[in-house]
Amino acid sequence: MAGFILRRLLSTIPTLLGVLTIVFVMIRVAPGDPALAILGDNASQEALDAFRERMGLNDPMWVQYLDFLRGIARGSLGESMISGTPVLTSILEVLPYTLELALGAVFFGVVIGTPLGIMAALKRNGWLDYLLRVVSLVGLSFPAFLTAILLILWLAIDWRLFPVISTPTGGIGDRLYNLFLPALSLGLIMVAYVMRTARSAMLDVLGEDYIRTARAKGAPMRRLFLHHALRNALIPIVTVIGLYFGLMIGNAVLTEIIFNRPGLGKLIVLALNQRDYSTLQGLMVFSAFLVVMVNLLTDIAYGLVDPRVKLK
Amino acid sequence: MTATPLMTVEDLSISFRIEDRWCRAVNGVSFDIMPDETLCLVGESGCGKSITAMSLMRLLPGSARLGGRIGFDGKDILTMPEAELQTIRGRRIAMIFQEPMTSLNPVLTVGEQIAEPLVLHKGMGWAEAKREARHLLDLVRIPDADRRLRQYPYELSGGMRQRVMIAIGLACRPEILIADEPTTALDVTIQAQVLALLDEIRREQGLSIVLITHDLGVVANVADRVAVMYAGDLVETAPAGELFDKPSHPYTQALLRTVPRADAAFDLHPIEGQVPSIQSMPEGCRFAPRCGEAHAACSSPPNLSSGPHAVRCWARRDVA
Ligand SMILES: Nc1ncnc2c1ncn2[C@@H]1O[C@H](COP(=O)(O)OP(=O)(O)OP(=O)(O)O)[C@@H](O)[C@H]1O
Ligand code: SF4
Ligand SMILES: [Mg+2]
Repeated sequence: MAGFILRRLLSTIPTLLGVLTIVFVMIRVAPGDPALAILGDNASQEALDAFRERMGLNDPMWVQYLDFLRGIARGSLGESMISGTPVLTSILEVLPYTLELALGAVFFGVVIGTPLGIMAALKRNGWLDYLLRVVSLVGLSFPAFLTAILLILWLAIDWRLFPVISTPTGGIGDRLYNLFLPALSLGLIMVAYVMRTARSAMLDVLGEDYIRTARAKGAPMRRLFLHHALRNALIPIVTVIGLYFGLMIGNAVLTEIIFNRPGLGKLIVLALNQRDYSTLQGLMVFSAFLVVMVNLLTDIAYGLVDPRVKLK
Repeated sequence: MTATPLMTVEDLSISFRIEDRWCRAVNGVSFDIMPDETLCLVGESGCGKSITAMSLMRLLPGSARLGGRIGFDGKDILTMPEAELQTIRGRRIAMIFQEPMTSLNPVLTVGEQIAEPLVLHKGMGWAEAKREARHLLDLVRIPDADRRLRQYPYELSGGMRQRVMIAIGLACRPEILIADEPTTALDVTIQAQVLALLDEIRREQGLSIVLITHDLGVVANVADRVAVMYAGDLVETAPAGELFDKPSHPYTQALLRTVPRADAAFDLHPIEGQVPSIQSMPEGCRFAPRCGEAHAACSSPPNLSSGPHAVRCWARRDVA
């Protein structure tokens, strides 16, 4: 297992390098002069020059690129052009809030989506199956922010079950209570994805020869589904969870803004408003790392579920 | 022959729904399975051998419609409740499938898969069942059993997997073992080994084997009795020696002509034409389109004659 993880870890290097290069280029070719944007139109030429010099904007592109890579290799994402705080520090400060939101969403997706998908597969073409298929279709075509607003109107304002504004502080109970609504609204898309995958994976697996073998052994239904079929169906389900975990972090931005929660979302909006290019660049690099890490974890999860994976 | 049959298949029919029409894939097949015998079910591809075999344990998908009766231990397999069936499957009747590469669960260890029927039916704990699984691997001649038990199916060759399937089948010492072309997916030398193994175990342990194959060479070596199927019909059944000496049905004769024989009584040639698809079965005798002896009577379906050597053919009414 350790060798397998190491090999997967090494194979992420080219991906990361590619992503870093793209981020670097994107920030450089984006319209607008950072110095002008930050210091304002009225800034004196000396002030502008001094700023450019300090930020290394006068260096040739390749020097800037190498500086950028060198910084990352040292674990630094640079400093904010506005406040001078290291970008990584600002990110790490709010990251737990975003992660808990994304994890909460994945949690809802998995604990609601998997059983529903399996039930739909077992009662294929029954009323439950049709209902769930319609619901998941609607769920997928519904913008996440709309679900969030509907949930607020309904559960927070009408029924007063949850707070409208999610303040992630206090004890673990308070924190979970505040997390519930945003995580649910973000997780509903995940529910739809996981449900569909679980349904089709389960249907595929139930048609396999080894399920027939298990029936021929006299295995009862429960064991057939939960032991023989589910273990195999988990393989595609894990993929989808990994794939959409990245998406959840992206979508968390909107959810955070709607629920007025601290997190990467607020950080991004602030950086955008202030034209804080270095923070934006750091945020992009960081999300790229996050996605690659999630993929790595997904691969490791594969290795745990499917004995064949380690060989490849 | 005074022994009572272990299993009596009476007028078994199997239909599938294809394009809003029920198509009969097996058409009123009857045979007995006697204690301690090897019954071979032969016929070309698509004649309904596998689905007949699977019906003996009611393993066909829910989309199949079954008719007739399968008597076992005074009860009818086809109508018994699922829960009761689960106490028979794997314990008193076991089956080895045609596809060794896909019939084992890829995410479970070999040990767990062999131990499972013992846990399900013999009330053993997993530790005890795994110890027993070790003996079963010895029985099917898989060396290095301890290591094999911990491996996953992908780590095993086709021949090994089929032996594992046999070990699973034999785990609870069933009365009937159904082996559906257990060797077709394997190469020739392994084929012979697996078949010899099955025959040896049958003689040592005393069980009945239903062996499905379209290899008549295999049949000649191991069968006590043979049932020949054609397009969902049982067309001839006889003790093995008699069937090879005096094949009666035109299809059986044609089938035997496809096998190279030492005495060269027949020239070697394949049967012309193909097995009809279940969606377009001929009226009357289903073999008529390919039969050299077809005549007017053959436009209505012939019945199976009675007796130990039974034939379904209008031209063979006189066979004893
Ligand atoms: N689930 C199913 N739905 C529809 N038709 C089926 C189904 N299963 C089997 N059949 C049809 O029933 C017929 C008999 O199939 P079966 O698998 O029993 O043949 P076989 O004699 O075992 O052939 P082979 O030697 O190739 O294994 C075939 O025509 C097949 O197409
Ligand atoms: S019944 Fe007629 S067609 Fe059928 S096998 Fe006999 S002779 Fe041939
Ligand atoms: Mg078959």
